[in-house]
This record gives sequence, structure tokens and C-alpha cells, in this order.
Amino acid sequence: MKRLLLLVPLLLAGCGTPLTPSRVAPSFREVFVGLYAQQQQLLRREAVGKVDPLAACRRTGTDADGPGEDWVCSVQYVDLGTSSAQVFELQVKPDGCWKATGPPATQPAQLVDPVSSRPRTNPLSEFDGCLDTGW
Amino acid sequence: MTLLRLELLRLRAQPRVRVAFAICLLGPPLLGLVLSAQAGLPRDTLFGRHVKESGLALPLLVLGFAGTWALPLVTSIVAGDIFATEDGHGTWQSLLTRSRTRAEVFTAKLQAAVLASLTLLAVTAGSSLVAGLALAGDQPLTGLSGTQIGAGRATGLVLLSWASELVPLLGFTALAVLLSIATRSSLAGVGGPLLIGLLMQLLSLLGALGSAANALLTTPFAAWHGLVRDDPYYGPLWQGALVSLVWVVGCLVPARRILLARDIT
Repeated sequence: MKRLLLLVPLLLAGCGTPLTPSRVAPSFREVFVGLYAQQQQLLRREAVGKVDPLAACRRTGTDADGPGEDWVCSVQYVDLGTSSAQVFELQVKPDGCWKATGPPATQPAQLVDPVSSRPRTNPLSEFDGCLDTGW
Repeated sequence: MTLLRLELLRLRAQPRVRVAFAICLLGPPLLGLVLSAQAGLPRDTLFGRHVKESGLALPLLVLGFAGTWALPLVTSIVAGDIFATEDGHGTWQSLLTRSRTRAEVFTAKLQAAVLASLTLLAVTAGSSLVAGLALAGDQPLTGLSGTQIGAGRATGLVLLSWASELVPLLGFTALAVLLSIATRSSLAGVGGPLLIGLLMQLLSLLGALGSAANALLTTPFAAWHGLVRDDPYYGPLWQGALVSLVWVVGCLVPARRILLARDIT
């Protein structure tokens, strides 16, 4: 146990939260790209799918980083010549995992399959991701 | 009969170990049944929203909350009692008169605790994988990188994720062994690690620790988050293994020393 106690100051020295905008944004962007392709496939728009968006994340409260429910990520992309921008709300948990909720108007919970007219879950209405919180 | 076999037989006869085994075996299928009967999804836990899309989501959902408290409980049920039970029944003398050294008894009991914990972990993993496949079939899984992972590869990742829990689990086994020997009380041996585990969870939930939370024994339970994706990252896994190793050594060395130095007459 003594050995462990000796480690504590060392660990605290390497402290500081890994949950910074510069690490949350790429994590969010990566999952968005994957799920956007999945969504376009659901909508039978296979020809599109892959986008190369810009993503930026920040906290709306007083803190600049760390876990919290006040994160927002904005994403901008061009698909078939049309430019779009959307803002997602993120809950970032201390373990590095986050849950994003899309703007309900552009990302409803359900989509309709254009061929079968069946309702399908919209992968971008709510989704999870995790980022590396290692040292 | 070897000491190890004797210890394993004794564990198998204990009602609380049997109950733990039954919960590990039947819990995941029960959860699958409940999920299939209701319309809502457990969206607040990772992979909860995908349990009806892919059978490989349920074992990861179970893994998500098993790591937070169930696994420390499972291992302390077997390891927290295995030494203290001799104090409870006053049987140290008769155990040590059978021409076995204390070091041999320590090793055999430790091995029995590790084997039992490993068995319970494997049973839970297998049971939740089968339950998941029965619930939703072998559809591709949406991983944590937002891409679809084919069922074959995803099954491998699920099993690897469950295997990664073994590392911090052994840390808790060592903690339970230490408490069991040091306090000579089954209650402290079983309840202590659970309480410490919950405290660590609470500390990391508060989020004030920052990266120092990586030194907690509960953090490696989440190292699998880096695995279930297109381009896995293993950093947290190796760090978790190192942290767990420090905990194992830090607990087992004093535990062995206390037992060997004890005055048993």
C-alpha cells in the first residue's frame, strides 16, 4: 500500500483532464462521418455517403473542458454541392464516452425508407462515442 | 487430494458462490427477455440503443454495467471469504496440521479464488453473447467509431473486450484477499472491495481527478471502449494492465506477509 501512496503525487502531476475541445471534436467527427454514411444508405443515397466535414466542439458553460452536459459540437459539410451545418448537443462523461443528440428538426428520431415506406431509426438522431482518456 | 482441489470443492459447496454462478449464468438471458418484451431501449448505457439491431450489442451492454460494480462483487464473493472463513470457523489449526506450509495454503487459496473468478467471468461472457444472439441475431454491429463491424469480427471483439476485464478483476481479487487476511472477517473481505470499488466509481464520476483517475482500479474496466471500433486503440488496455499489476502486487505481498507472520496456535 505504501508503494501505491508514493505513486499518488506522480499521478497527480500528470493530472489535467483529457476531455478538451481538441480531443472531443475529432472523436465526434469520426463517428458523425461513419453514421452519416449509414444514414445515407438507409435513405438509398448510396452514391453520396462519404463526407469530409469540419467539426468544432466547445462547452457552453463556464468551464472550457472536462466532463459535462453542456458540450456542443457544430459540424459543416458539403454533400452533392449543398453545404449544410448542424449543431449537436453532447453529454461528455468522465470515462471519455459521450452521447450526442441531433437537432430534432434536421435529425428526427425516425426516417422513412423511400422504397418500402417503413420507419427506420435515424442513426444520427442520438449516438455514442468514446475517446482515448489514457495518459 | 491437492490443496487446490480441496479449496475449489469447498467454494463449489458454498451457497453464495452457487447464487453468484446462477446470477452470472441466468442474468443476461433474463435481461434479454425483458428487453425483447418492452418497446423502450436502455439508451443511457453504451450499446443500449443497438440491442435489437445486433446480437453483439447485448454482451457489450452487460459488460458496461458489469464493470462498474458487478465484477468487483463477483470476485469478492469468492476471494473475500476464502481466508477469513478459517477464522470464522476456527479451522486454521486443523488446516495447517496437515503437513502443509502456510505458503502452500496461501498459494492454493489464491489459485482457487482466481480460478473461480475466471470461471464466473467466462460464464457471464458466454451467457450474454448467447442471449444477445438469441435476441437479435448476428447482424453487423455499429461500433464506437460509427462504422459497421461484421458479425464475425465483432464477435471476436466482444470476446476480447470481456477478456480485458480479467485484468482489473484480478486486482479486485487481490484486494479481497488482502482484506480477508488482514481483517479476518468475511464481511470485510466481501463488502470491503465492493465498497472500495463503489468509492472509486464515485471519485471518477465526480470528474475532478482528470487523468489521475487512470490510477484507480475501476478505470481499466472501461479499457474495452478502445477495442470495439474500426481502428482500435490499445493505450488504455496496457495502462490498465500496468495499474492493475501494481494493485495486485501491492495487495498480495502484504497479504502473504501477514499470513506467514501470523501467530496461529
